[in-house]
Amino acid sequence: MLKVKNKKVVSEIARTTYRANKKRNFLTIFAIFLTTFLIAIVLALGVSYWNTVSERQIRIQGMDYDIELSEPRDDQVEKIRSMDNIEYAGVAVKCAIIEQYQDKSLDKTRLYWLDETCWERQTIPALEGYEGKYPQSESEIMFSQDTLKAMGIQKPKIGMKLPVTYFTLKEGSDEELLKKDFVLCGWYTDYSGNQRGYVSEDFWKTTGVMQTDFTQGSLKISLKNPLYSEKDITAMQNEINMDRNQYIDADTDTISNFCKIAVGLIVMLLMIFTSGYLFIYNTLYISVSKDIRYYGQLKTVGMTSVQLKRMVYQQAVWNAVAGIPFGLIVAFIIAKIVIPQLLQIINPVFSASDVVSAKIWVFLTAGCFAFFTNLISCKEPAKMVGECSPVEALRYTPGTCRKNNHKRESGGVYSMALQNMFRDKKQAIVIFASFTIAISIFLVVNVIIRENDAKRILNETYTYDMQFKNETTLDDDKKQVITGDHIFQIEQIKGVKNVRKVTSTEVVVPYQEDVYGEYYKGLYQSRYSPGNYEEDMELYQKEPENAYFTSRFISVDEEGVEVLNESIGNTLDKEAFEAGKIAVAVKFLNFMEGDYGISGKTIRFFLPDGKKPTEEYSIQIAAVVDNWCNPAFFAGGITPDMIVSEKYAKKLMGELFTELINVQYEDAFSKGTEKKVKAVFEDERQISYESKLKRYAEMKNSETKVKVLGNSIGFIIAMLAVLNYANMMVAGVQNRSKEFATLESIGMTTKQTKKMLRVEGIGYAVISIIISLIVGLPVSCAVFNAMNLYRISFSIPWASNLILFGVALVLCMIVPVLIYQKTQNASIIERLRNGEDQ
Amino acid sequence: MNILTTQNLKKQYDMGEIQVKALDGINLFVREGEFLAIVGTSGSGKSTLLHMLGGLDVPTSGKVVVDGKDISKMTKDELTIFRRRKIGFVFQNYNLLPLMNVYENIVLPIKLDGIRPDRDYVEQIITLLGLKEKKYAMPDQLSGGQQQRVALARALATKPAIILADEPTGNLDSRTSQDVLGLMKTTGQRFGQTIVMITHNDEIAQMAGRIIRLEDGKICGGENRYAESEE
Repeated sequence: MLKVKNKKVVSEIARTTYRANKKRNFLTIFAIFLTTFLIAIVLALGVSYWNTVSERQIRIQGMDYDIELSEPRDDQVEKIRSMDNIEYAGVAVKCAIIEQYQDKSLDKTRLYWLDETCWERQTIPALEGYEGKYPQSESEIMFSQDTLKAMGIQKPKIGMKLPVTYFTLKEGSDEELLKKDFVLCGWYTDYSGNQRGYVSEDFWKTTGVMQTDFTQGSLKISLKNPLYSEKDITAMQNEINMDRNQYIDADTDTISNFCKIAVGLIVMLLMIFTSGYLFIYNTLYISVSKDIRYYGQLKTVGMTSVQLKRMVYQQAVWNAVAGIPFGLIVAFIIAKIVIPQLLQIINPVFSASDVVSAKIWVFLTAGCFAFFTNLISCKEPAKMVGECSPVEALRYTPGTCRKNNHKRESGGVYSMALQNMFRDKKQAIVIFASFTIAISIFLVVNVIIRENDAKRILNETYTYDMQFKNETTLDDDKKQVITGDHIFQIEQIKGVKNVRKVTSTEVVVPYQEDVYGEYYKGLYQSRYSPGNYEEDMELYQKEPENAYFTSRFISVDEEGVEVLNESIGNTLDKEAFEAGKIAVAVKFLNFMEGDYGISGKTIRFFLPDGKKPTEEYSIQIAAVVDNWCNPAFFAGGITPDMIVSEKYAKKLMGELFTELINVQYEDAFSKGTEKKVKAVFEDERQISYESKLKRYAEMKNSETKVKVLGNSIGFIIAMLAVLNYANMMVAGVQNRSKEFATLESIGMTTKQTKKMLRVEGIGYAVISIIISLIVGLPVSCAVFNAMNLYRISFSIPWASNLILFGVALVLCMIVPVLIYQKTQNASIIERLRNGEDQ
Repeated sequence: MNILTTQNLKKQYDMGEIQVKALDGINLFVREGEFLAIVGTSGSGKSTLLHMLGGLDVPTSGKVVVDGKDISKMTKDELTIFRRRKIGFVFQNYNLLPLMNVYENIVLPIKLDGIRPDRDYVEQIITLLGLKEKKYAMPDQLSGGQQQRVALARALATKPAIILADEPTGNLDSRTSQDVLGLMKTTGQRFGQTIVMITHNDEIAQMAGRIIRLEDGKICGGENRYAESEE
């Protein structure tokens, strides 16, 4: 067959058609622009958001590493550093603890020596910032700002002298207190909330602590591929010939956690991409179906299906060429200029440059996606054009519900609106799907933003706003520094909701194999084994009062019982607890699973500081909890601590020793209340405090970034959901131009038409919102759980969702009416004629 | 009594530098209950005139008075309501709403007026126009003649004073054309309605009571004198 040279003609017709449909092309280009913009901006902001949240997570940890080897020997350090999958490994040794600065008691400020790798590669990246340099000489020291504040130093200066009382952690040193004047050589900010300082290698050597000493030294290991399995860890263990007490601290759920997060992200990306696809598809579908008659005419004059299809694709390419670069440029401007500027205005700490890491791949992905989506979206309309017969095409009316000819006798504005919504089922599905997906994305993004809200994280992880600890609790000459008077003063402060008192004292628990036997076995079999089981148990039976085996007898007040009960799933019989019939036991270590058959058994004990030191008491253990549920701070020996009611403790002890108080405010993070509460203990030197507000203040910078990025994503997605709908409505209203004219010719007033459009809009919004709630909420819950780093509970951000729903509803009502007003200005006759021409 | 008059009605279109006079000073008088046919060649301005009479288009100058009311002074919505109550339109291409069945199309103007349709009357029209079997059919399931009958039924449904028909038989074969026109005439007489019909077909026009001829936007023949004299 001879090839007919008709490409030029087809191109020319395509060009003429394209030029003639400026308005409609604008809509298609706008759809492509929006999709490109959506993908580019969401990817750019999403990546930055992710980086910021991860960065904050590292800062909360205080150090950036994947796994940790305890008490490493030099040969092990060398061996590990030479391994293929190791990025770097740094040594950290805890060598001393500062007790006092001048005459002020500190909250166990630990001093570490870090080798160069650990400091430069693993610590600096986890700091928000630091001043000065790492200690070099024996007297130099570096503190966290948190520690300096606890010392009462608000404006630190390099070179300032810091007289402290400390003890070394050398084995057998018996915490002998030493005095030393350190010289401050630097300070840093992280979000760990730990009070710690860094010292030079020379100082560390003077302490006599070895890096192989139990619990003091550790090797922080950063892996090349942070996704590791238990098998990898076992392989590493086998290679380095570990001692009995050594262990590798690794999270074996890394891969499964990563998969969960990946699935969450993929679901979100799929939704965003689908939303973009539907947007372009729908616009093209409307556009081509509107042109069907015209294509039918072309067919009647001899244009083939192939030529028509080519024409559709050619026009699609032109639209893409116009829409994609524009979308990319706007996304770039917003990501690189608008949002950084906004951040700088909110918080001048940020340099306007590196806020959004808009990498080139983001734009390439967005551009390619929009281009191919555009071509794929053309497939169906092109098929429609190619397949329809000329006569059918000439008679084509968009969305005729042929089958729907039941004996219906409606016909009012409402029923017309309803019919219009579903006139073209396919298009209705596309509109609902795209609107629903957009709203669902908003729901999901909203939940993720909420999940990463610093206040929320802190609210979930802190049971108090401020905690005051008596630092003399474990001293031989302990002092009742937190008095009833103090508590009363705090309770009287406006803005304080409650003060929960936690008291503690030493308790001697005689060896009782039937109660704790299994627990001790479990403890000694674990990698945290405190020593030799047989020897220790023998010693225990002989000397139950040895500090190694004693534990703490903790009491909580009524408010405290509520908090404790909540942490164990509200299973406590509060009456029995208050009456002193039952107690809760606290495991020595967090990782120990199960209750070792302790629950329900009765334990015997003595209280050496109680009213009757020699009398044996007994109480039933109702539950066994992890250490993180322990309301007290100071630990006893390896025997589980006991938590009882204050009433019961008072009965046995007489006067109770207050270890700490937890203060809760009416309004969390209230600066005014905090200031007044802090003032109560202003002159008290042996009390340390911890505050949620202080942690929040440390996280403030990254919080601003997280919020601005997160809210920008949310806002852009919400805006796009609405624009997407508006664009569809523009096409829809234009498509129905002739119908509106007909209705007007037979007596439908503008008011009635607007009412019909409004009802349609409400219908679209309400149905989409309902579907989004049905689909979006479970998805958002799933994504939330997949990405839940801080184990906070799921809750729906109703306020922002309701605002979106409200805005969507109002816009859905207003937009079609506005479009109608703007586009249907010509006389009825003109509109009827235009309708016929199409 | 004249139910419809126009006074010096003009309509001009600007097409670049050229001005096209679609209507050039039309003075028309239509008596109540009469069946008037306006004939003319393509481009003579007959459709434009009909659109002006029904308030579907706005004149450049002049007046259209329907039932004693100057419709050129009405707002858009007043005009729409007036049209709904007083005028019934029959278009050449029917202009039925594709999403509604025959019955719904017919009663739509009544419902738009917020009135419950007079079922007996509607049924009467449906029966008269031979649409009983097709009452619940969708427009695209009907032939051209059937669609035009539905359009006519819709025009009659609100019991308008005037029916304006724009080439009602333009898309129909001669037999169907005769049928539709016959029905139009019968219903007009039965319900006492005035009918103004435009057509380019002289044979069809002969079925009307009076004929006027339009050429280049002016009345150039026919029986317009009768009305003028009365005036």
